[in-house]
Amino acid sequence: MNLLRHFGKAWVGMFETAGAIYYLFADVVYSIFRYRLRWELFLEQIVRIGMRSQGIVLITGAFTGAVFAAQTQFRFGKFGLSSATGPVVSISMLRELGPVLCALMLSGRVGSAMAAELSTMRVTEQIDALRALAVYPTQYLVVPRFLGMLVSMPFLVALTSGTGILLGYGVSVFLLGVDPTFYWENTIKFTGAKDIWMGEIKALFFAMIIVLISCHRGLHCQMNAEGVGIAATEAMVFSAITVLISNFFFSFLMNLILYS
Amino acid sequence: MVLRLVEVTKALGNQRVLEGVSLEVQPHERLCIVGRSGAGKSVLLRLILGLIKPDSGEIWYGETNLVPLSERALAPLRSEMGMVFQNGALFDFMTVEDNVAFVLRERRLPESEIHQRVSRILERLFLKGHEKKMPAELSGGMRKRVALARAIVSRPKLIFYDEPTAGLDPIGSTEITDLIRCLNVEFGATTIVVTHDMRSVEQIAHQVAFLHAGRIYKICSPEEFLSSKEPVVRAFVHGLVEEPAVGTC
Repeated sequence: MNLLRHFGKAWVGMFETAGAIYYLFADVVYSIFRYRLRWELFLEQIVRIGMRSQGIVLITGAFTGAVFAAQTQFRFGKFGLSSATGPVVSISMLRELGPVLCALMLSGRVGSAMAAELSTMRVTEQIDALRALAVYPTQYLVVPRFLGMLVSMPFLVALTSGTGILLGYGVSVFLLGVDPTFYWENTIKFTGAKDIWMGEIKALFFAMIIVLISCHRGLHCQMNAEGVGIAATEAMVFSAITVLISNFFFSFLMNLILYS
Repeated sequence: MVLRLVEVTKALGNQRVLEGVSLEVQPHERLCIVGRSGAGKSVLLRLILGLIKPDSGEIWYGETNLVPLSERALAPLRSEMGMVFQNGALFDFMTVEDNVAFVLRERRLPESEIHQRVSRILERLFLKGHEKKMPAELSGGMRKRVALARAIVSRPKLIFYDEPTAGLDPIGSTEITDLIRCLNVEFGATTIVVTHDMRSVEQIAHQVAFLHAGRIYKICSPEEFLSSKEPVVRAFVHGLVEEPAVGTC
């Protein structure tokens, strides 16, 4: 009976959180159109999210592409299918690995920082102070982060996928001896604009998922130091899990839309 | 009448904190709300400011009942109010100057006027020379003064102070108490102070409201309050305990 109650509570809690995140999304959209955009805060977020994350996504993309190209070539090479290595790496990076790995890295680097920042503000009553000064917290705190992430994420995903494809090429051609012309020709032949679109559209969805979950955790944390830690951890874990699960559905849905 | 509370109740979790608080505050009045720790004084301030909603009752600011208003609808009314939080609640990512100027920038006043008003208020609160410091670099007393400057720089009609002297040494406490009184006289704003510091009550209050068992138990002048013979009030004022406290030798 206790076990049932426990599961029931967990499900109710999950739906409550989903509802609250949806409400936050609606509030953000309303605030974007209802209030003036705070350009200074928005640009600050672009610097913090977009510019300062370049290093981490560059390394992630580059080494994922490199190892993926190497493993593909090890197997495909044995069967004389070296011509497939380039397209396999580029399509995988553009459609799946680029957006997903970039989102996972950002949920750790940016999402947990957002949650920690907002939850510290909540614990130290700074959010109440904002409200007391007649400032709407969603507009001041969430909207600049939301828009900053939405603008930055497609560029970061492009950077992840691009460096992955480039280093994949480098490894295949310079280390494993695949013919460069052959590699590029096949890569370009089998990679279409739709593959790029798929990654970029996913980037926008993942950006929304990370910001909304992280800001929600930050704004609703427990009012103590432990709460700040929990909010930061939950932001990272929940964002990452949601990105991974939603990616599965996005991939199917977008295949239906783009290739039907 | 600036503010009127009618049978306001509030429970936090399973605990009923306020069980029907009714209160009236007149314009330009300095009201001290006193009571034991956990009596619900700070909760009462947060209710008035609309930071939390009551379970029942009405809170009238002028002709407007604040209770049914949404967060967005409350904003214009809040711009007529100022609040000094117990721990200051200064924005830790801004300098002292930017903290104080924040509300003026929100109202899009010209930068020259903002600079003038901020300088004047910082000088008035003995904070000249500390403009560029971050809140983490300030002492407790200075932080309270910055919070005070931020609350009054927009010249609100109603100011709330949550335990303004808590955690301060006797001199710092006297400084803040004097400032609260002087600022009320200078700006004429209605002032509501939540405290359990009897010295502050004596120096600040026109009226004292004693919050006990979730209700306003007594409301009177500070003289009457401090010399009251009622056992509950006397025990609070003089710190008398009915039974030996834990750890008494």
